Amino acid sequence: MLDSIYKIMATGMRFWFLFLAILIVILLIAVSRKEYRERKAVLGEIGQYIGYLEIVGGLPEAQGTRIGIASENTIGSGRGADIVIRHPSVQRVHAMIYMKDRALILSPLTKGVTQINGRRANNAYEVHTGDVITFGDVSAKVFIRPELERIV
Amino acid sequence: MKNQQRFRTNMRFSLGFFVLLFIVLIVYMGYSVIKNGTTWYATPYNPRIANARKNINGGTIYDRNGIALAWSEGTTRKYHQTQSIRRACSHVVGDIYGKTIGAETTFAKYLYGLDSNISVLLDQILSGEEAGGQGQDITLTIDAQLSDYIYKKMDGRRGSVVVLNYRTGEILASVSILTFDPNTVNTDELEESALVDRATMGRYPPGSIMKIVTASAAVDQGLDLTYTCTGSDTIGGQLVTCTKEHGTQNLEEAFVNSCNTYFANLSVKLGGSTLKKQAEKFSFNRTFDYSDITLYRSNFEISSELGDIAWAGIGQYNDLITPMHAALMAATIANNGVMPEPKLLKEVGGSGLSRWSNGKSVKVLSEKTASIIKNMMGKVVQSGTGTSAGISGAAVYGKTGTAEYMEDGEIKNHSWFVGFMNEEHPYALAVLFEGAGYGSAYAAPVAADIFEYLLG
Amino acid sequence: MKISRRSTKAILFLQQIFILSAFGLLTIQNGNLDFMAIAMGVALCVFNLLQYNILKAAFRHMDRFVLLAAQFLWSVGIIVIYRINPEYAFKQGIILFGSTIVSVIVMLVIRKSHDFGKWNWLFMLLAIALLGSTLILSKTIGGAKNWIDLKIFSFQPSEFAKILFIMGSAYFLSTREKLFSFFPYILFTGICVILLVAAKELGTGLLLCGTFLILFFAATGRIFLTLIGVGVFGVGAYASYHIFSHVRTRVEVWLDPWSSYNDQGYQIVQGLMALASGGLFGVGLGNGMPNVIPASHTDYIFSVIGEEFGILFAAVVIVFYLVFIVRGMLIALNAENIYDALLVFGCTCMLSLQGFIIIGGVIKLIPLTGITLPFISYGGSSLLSSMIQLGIIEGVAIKNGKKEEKELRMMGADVL
Repeated sequence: MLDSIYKIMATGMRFWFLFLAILIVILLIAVSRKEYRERKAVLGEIGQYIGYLEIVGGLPEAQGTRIGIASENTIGSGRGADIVIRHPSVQRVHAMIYMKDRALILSPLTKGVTQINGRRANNAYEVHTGDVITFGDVSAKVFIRPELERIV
Repeated sequence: MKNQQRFRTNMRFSLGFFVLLFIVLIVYMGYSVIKNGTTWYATPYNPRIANARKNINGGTIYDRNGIALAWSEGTTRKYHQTQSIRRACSHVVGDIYGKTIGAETTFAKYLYGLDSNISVLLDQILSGEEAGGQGQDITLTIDAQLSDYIYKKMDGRRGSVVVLNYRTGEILASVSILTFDPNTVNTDELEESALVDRATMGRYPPGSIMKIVTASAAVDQGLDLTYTCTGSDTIGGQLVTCTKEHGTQNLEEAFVNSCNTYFANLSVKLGGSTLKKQAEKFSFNRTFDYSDITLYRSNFEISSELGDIAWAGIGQYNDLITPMHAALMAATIANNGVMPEPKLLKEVGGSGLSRWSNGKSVKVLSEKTASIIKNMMGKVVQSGTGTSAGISGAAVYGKTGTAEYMEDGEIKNHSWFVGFMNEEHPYALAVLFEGAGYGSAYAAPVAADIFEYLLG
Repeated sequence: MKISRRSTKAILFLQQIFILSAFGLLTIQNGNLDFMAIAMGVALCVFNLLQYNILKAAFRHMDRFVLLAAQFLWSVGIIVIYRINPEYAFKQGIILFGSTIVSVIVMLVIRKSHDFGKWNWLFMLLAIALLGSTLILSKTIGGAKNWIDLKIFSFQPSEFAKILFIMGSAYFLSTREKLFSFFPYILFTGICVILLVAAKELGTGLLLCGTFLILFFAATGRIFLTLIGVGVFGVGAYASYHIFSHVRTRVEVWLDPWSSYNDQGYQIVQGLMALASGGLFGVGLGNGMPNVIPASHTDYIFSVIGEEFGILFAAVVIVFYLVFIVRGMLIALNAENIYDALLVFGCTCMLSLQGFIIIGGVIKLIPLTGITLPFISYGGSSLLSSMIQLGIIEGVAIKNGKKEEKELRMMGADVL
């Protein structure tokens, strides 16, 4: 009797196994593709980054955080900014940092305090790796990708 | 850097190559298993079938009229009580010891429940039987009484007769002598060829029935040769002779007279490659893969010698054909130029399972050409070499064949007749008697008897 | 900016369900309750889950999908092997466990290393020694001398020679530019192939040739030379057809196995019948007849899968190997240097080509040669060798991941 039950079960379960196998393979392909695409997108974007700003002071909870710099960024505390620094001393649209002729230029946009290496910057000024930029009370160190750094 | 880029491109290319390889693998596997699965499975080598026979009650094999030809009582297989019916149908039904390939083997998956049909298994369990312990019944297309009649008319002479319904491809009879008795096949001392089904595995030179192919080639090419037969001719150094001097003929007259010299010259005029192409249209040199029967390949070759081409065109040289294929050839002419797919299985389990896929029928000739040949074949029976195949009561179309072959240094003749009737009785047949003599003398009269029987 | 890992829980879950239901079914095989079956199933599930999670935790950058594909393959393998003979399944399980440890060691080694430099010469000599030893010391199984019985267990040296071949190839092809300097490598390949053909291991010989040609093309991109290589291969194949009778036999049997059914053709015919018997959906696990097929638990296991699970399922198995190839290629494309890339590419190539050659032989697409189906076939050396290759692939994946992470970190992204 068990023999007959087995035969029927085995014959019936063929579809179950096939179904599972197809499901597994489809999921495997789908998930791996999604992850691959995401990775690629992020890496692609990262690849576009010129360098990053590393918070070195004024914002204890974000100390050491690195923020990528694209070819053109607005910096400020407002949501629309490319690089958002939430601090009362930082204006909504505080400054702009952008790439021009292989030089990274920092351009203050408000009357708020913007300093480079401690000295007040009132106009657009070039920055290099290692320079510390201060927006209000928050300071960040500049790192530019070595291959993009203009040899001064 | 650049090197790495190129490297990456090369790897991508290799990836594509691999994907292609594996797709080929999957496609080939699917294609060959689906196409050849039944052929691979239904052989006597298959231990699954032998195993099933031991453990499962095989279903009953019925003929088209419900006559039981084989059934199981317990695990013993029993056959029809009348010996002549048994022997007439034995090649079609087959044996259970794997000595022949008949319905017992080809349709084993139904007979022994190897079809893995869940609903059938469930039914069995619910009715208290052992699941998979009983196979399904099948109904064949053959007519046992017709086969019996044919068997008796053949009167023990070696050869084979095949009768088909040319519209549906159903095989109504396939008798082959020498034959055997399935009741005693395991214990009898049989002559070597008793287990060979001459209908599907016996390959004989077609002789003059090949003229159907040659004539159709001429019609297709629009070539109506006028030739005067003087009883013999030498072509390419080889002598071709006729039974008598036929005089001046056109294609139709030469066909009706079955004039060898005319057709020999016609073959040369058509050319070897045209002839071969036409033969291959008729499925010569093709490996048949019908699901219901195992049909051996027919052969048609040519060489660069004109003499060989001439002989090939009249059915000698290296031409070989099986009686089943010959019947299919006749069926093609009858069926407006379409060669039907031969079928042996009518129904499975009384479910009226419809198996009429005509997927494997082949368009060989245009309707016009077929009707011209049909006309000629009609004249053959009315006034030509095939008059002994004629009957009163219905029109008969046909072609006689006398095929020469060598045996022990002697020239002998196979006696052939292929033919068919009109639509109301859509039957085509092929009759072959080994080494008997002229087609008109031996095969044609038996064909007449069969036509009479078929007329009702 | 973050890169998140997509959840593979569903896939893992489904795979274990598959294993458990298969073993559950096998428990009631043969009319009596076989608790060892379900125990085996549970053990396999536990092993898979542990392995996956431990490795994921230990090596954050490991390629999970390759591991999942491999897991599915060896699980199907153990299921089918158990159905054929439970004892073999136990042995396979133990080997699985042992080879996992070896593969972890390999991963650890590879992720930290660069190419092995001068050591590669030793590797190549070792490979030749291994192949040579089969010729001299072995005992004959099925006409091919490839097993060496060491009393406790038997092992197949050619399986490991394969790996050494890949390593040597990666080294040579990544460090040499000029054609002339390739010469020792080409000589090495030639010797290996000749040794294999002489030892009647045509499958592995074919495998090495194929891998060599593909690696050569990928590394040098010289189409013309590669075509010459293919030509040489063709000439070699043709010559061996005429010189060696066993090669001739294989080709004849491939073209028409039915005529030599009683002898050489038996295996192929039985395999084809099994596939035909299975049809699209199979006859059901345990309903087939694998016992009439020689080597049904090793080389010919694919036909058992075809019979009992059907060719649709078998096609899915083939797709799993495809997933392996694609993921492997992606890892190779991401590699830091050409050596790593060739290493992964070589292993991926070899595993996939191996699968192709044996499946192709079983379905009569190409002549049958005696090699195993990676991860699925029973066999210590085979499984161990496949696991080592898996380890190499994962090792490079980890290396890639680390490099990527560094770059991402530098740019302020977070990798979860």
